Amino acid sequence: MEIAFLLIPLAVLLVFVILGGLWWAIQTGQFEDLEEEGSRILEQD
Amino acid sequence: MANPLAVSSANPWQGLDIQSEWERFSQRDAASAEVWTSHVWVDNMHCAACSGRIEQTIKQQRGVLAVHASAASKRVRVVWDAKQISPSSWFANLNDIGYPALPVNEYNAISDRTVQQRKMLWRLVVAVFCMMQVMMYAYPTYWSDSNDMAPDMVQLMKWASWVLTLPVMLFSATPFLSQAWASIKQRQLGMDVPVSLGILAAFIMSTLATFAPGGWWGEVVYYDSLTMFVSFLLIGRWLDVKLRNRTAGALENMMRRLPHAVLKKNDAGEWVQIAATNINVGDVLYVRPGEVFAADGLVLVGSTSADESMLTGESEPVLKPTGAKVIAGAGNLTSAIEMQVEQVGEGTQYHALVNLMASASTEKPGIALLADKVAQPFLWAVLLAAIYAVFFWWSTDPAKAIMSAVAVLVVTCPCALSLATPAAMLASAGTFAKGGVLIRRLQAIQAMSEVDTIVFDKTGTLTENLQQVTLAESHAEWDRQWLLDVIASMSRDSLHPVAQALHGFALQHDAQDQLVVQDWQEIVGGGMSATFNAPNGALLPVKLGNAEFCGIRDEIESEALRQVYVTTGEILLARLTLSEQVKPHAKAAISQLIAHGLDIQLLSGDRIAPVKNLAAQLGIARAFGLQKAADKLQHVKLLQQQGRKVLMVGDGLNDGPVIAAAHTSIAMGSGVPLTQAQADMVVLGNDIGVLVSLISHCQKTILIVKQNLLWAALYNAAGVPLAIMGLLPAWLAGLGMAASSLLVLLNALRLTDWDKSGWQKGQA
Repeated sequence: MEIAFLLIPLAVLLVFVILGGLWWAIQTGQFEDLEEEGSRILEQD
Repeated sequence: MANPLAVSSANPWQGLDIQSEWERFSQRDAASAEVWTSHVWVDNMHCAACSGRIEQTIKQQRGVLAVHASAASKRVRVVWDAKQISPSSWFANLNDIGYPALPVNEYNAISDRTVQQRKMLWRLVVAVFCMMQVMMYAYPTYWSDSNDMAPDMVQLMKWASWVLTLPVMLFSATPFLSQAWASIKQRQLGMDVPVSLGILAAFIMSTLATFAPGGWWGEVVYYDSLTMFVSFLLIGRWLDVKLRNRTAGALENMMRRLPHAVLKKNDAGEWVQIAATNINVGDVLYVRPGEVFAADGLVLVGSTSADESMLTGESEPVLKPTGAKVIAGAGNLTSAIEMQVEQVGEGTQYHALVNLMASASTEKPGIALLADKVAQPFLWAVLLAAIYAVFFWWSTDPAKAIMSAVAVLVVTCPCALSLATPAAMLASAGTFAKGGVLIRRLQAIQAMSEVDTIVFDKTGTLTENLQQVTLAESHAEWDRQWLLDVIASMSRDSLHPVAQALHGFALQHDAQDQLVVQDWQEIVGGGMSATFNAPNGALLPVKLGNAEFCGIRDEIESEALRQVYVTTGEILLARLTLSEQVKPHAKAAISQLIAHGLDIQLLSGDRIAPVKNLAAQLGIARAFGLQKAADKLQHVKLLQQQGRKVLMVGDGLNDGPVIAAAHTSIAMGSGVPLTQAQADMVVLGNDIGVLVSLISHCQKTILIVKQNLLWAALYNAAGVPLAIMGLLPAWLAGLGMAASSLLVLLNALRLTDWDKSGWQKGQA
């Protein structure tokens, strides 16, 4: 079980990394227009 | 009149080329002083193809650095260089390809709200994410035997939980803590005070238990309860922010109505284009048909008719002869006029309307008020109970004293009770919003559930604004098809809604609108006259219009809303009737409402015969015609004196005072903003059928609120005495708190399923 002493702090660290990713996503407006972006690929140029 | 045509051919957007003007919808780039980012609104951008076309076209302009068009929000963002291009040229460019744009003047307000909403979402995400992690470390300690885990392992998990709880305490929970602090400073007891006390007490006790175990505070940690609690509260806040931003969005749509540039007569008598913000009282403006009046004022030269439906709800165009008053925000329909400005900006009726809506959307959120009101007496009891617990145990066991107080705060942590009402109402409000019904006051749900009498307005509520035309009679000696051709050709160029309805009707009956029309004239408030070549070759003067205009003395009594005559001299060529079309689901909706014991009444300002006729069609027993605003108000007040709870469904300004007086009110979507601002609910679609399930869903909501309140009361009645007696360890208190609020939320979630098909059984 000693490995838990490494894994748990690692997991905590990972949480902060993921939170950082979510922060980036929210700040760049990734959640603001959920409908249109999906259809952009279908547009004609 | 000076020659306004010369100006009208010029670029109408030139008013925007003043820096103070474009600053209102643009932001200077941080890096370069000459680069601006502008936001404009394109109303008819409906699909991704439109947005692609807009981007492609504007990008080709020299000086435009970047374009992003979003069909979902109907906004276009343009980054441009002021040294190379002026805003008017890309505005004109947009206009040329069929997408007229309007500057989004309030962009800064919008971006403020976006930032606010993002921040709330971010707080929520942090809290929920950390909560999930904390749960994982809490779980083994709950379910393992005490010997299964090594003490240092348990300690490690406490450590990890503490680290993960820090962001929740320091960031996610700050709105509650700071609001609690603010209300303490104002010597008021808000919802946030016991919430914050509970959060802080739980965090401090857990921190002590983590880093200095063995003291009187014991060894139990409550990080899981704490993070879960904060997450639940934040979900409510976030939904609330979203709800409010939606209202504010509706407000902005309204602000966009006024023109940004107008034609003004200068001292030399020439027409010059100026920005709408530079209009002064006394200016003479030139307003073309199809434009919107930029200020309140008097018609100086010419006569026209105006569409004031945005402001008054009157769907009929209003006559504006020389000397009549016109109001900002109304549309000029028939002909170009000159107007003298009397009121501008803040002084206009239009602005008063906008202010009214603005104040409504910035009021303290309904959910917070509601929660405060319900919880206020309860909060004092909780605080007193906690203090009592401290005193009760202090002499014998200080640790137990503190722990009991925390247990009281945590077990009651006003979750269940304070969530009981808003959770159910928010769930319903969200569901309604998805279904096209906006709620302006959450309390309206309760009012709606108590309604026993519904008073309908007629036009636009039960009937379509479109008018149904029938050819009631035509002269036997004239060719029917030729008469229809005459009607089509005559009405082709008029903007009057009746003429447009006639034109549409004639075309439907295979008429051609290409006859040679000579001397065509439109008389405002009467009709049209013109000269045609009759089939036999003679010149034939024809009049089309109302009875008075056509010289008809004995108007035939009819159930139709109005009658239109076509005459030549003394001979009646044709008589057409216009009647309103009943909305598709109106009859079914009304009969369902009657079947469920509601009393339905119809009040209308129209003539009695058509009103009675419509009522008979719909199965409404009580219908009243010729009702002016004051009569309607009187009627509703009389009903209320009989102890009835009246729901008013309307759409016009005539309904404004009635809507304010009634127990609760609904505005149908085509209605005016003023009524919308006063009405408790707004039905966005035009489907009256929604009404049936709306009322039944409101009743169901109140039923669930009552269940929730009952559950919360029972839970607290059991939990608080146990906690005071010290029989409830804090972890159990935390579990109870979480479970009680979960139960309340889950119960409320049942309301997210809204069956719009008809009356729902209140099987909750």
